[in-house]
Amino acid sequence: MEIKVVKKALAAGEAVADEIRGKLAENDVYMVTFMGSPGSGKTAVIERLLETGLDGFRAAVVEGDIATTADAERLARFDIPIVQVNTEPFGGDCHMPPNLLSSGLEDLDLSTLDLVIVENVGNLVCPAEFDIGENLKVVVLSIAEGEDKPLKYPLIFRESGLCVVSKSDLAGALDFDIDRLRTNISRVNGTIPVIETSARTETGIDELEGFLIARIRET
Amino acid sequence: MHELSVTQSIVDSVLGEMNARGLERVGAVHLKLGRMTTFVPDCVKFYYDALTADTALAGSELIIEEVNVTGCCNNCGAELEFEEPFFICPECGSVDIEVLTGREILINALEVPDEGDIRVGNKGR
Repeated sequence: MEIKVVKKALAAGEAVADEIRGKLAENDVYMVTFMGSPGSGKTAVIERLLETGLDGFRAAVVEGDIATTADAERLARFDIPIVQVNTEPFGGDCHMPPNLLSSGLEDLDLSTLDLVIVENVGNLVCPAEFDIGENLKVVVLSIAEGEDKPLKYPLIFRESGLCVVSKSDLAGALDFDIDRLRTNISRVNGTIPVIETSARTETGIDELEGFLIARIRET
Repeated sequence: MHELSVTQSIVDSVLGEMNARGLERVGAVHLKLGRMTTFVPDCVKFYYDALTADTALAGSELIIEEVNVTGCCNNCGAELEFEEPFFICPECGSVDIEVLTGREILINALEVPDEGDIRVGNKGR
């Protein structure tokens, strides 16, 4: 006998993501997740973004890593709440699961915030797969990774609402073809906005800030 | 690598379903797995056997049906099926494509030795 079931295998995690969404909405807080390879410059982009002051919006950061509190320490100079969550010190999960984010959010007083910035575990595959209750997923791709990455890792470019190209100051040294990258991104997702940035020269940071602030205001 | 945690979710979910329905044994579990997920069927099966070894699902078979990636063009309304992750409408050239199937991870049915027929809820992903 065959029993029909039709049950989402990830329903437990999705329920937690829904809870997170509910709490954020209750407190009128916007949440953005930064995803991307290890070393793509996610933390540096977040640092530059925080330096802009975000037009007075009160932000907090949840840093996700397999191990270490290095990223949280980098952000300690900002006078804002920073929470570091580690997935497992010896190996660990390849992405931030919703239950772990949920426990991280418990350390924040959401009623005092307008924006939560989540930095996911460095990985161009797994974080794309899971809904963690955010309003916006951002994929950060450094030009050192190559123009072909959207074709090789399509899901993350498909699931994200914004692509931040980082380390644009290295384009000359790497003979990087930005037009080819843009073409490859649009083959996978023709509607995703792309912002070219450099944390070193601060190129594109104002544009990124403007994009995010507009999204927070319209939500 | 993350097949381990998703397979654990599948196993937990099936065990919960068996418990809720009072099923002691299940011969096979049918799973619908979208092709636009980052989960590899062979890896899921490998972990399934390992994770079920000491449970009521020990010895059961995981049967995976892959679901093709389909979508529709928001510009011209064409219904499309994608073999590769290049989302451009062949009819009108628009890139405004909505993906309709291919992202699901659904436990679709359980095979048990007894007679009868039970059908419950239907919520797609």
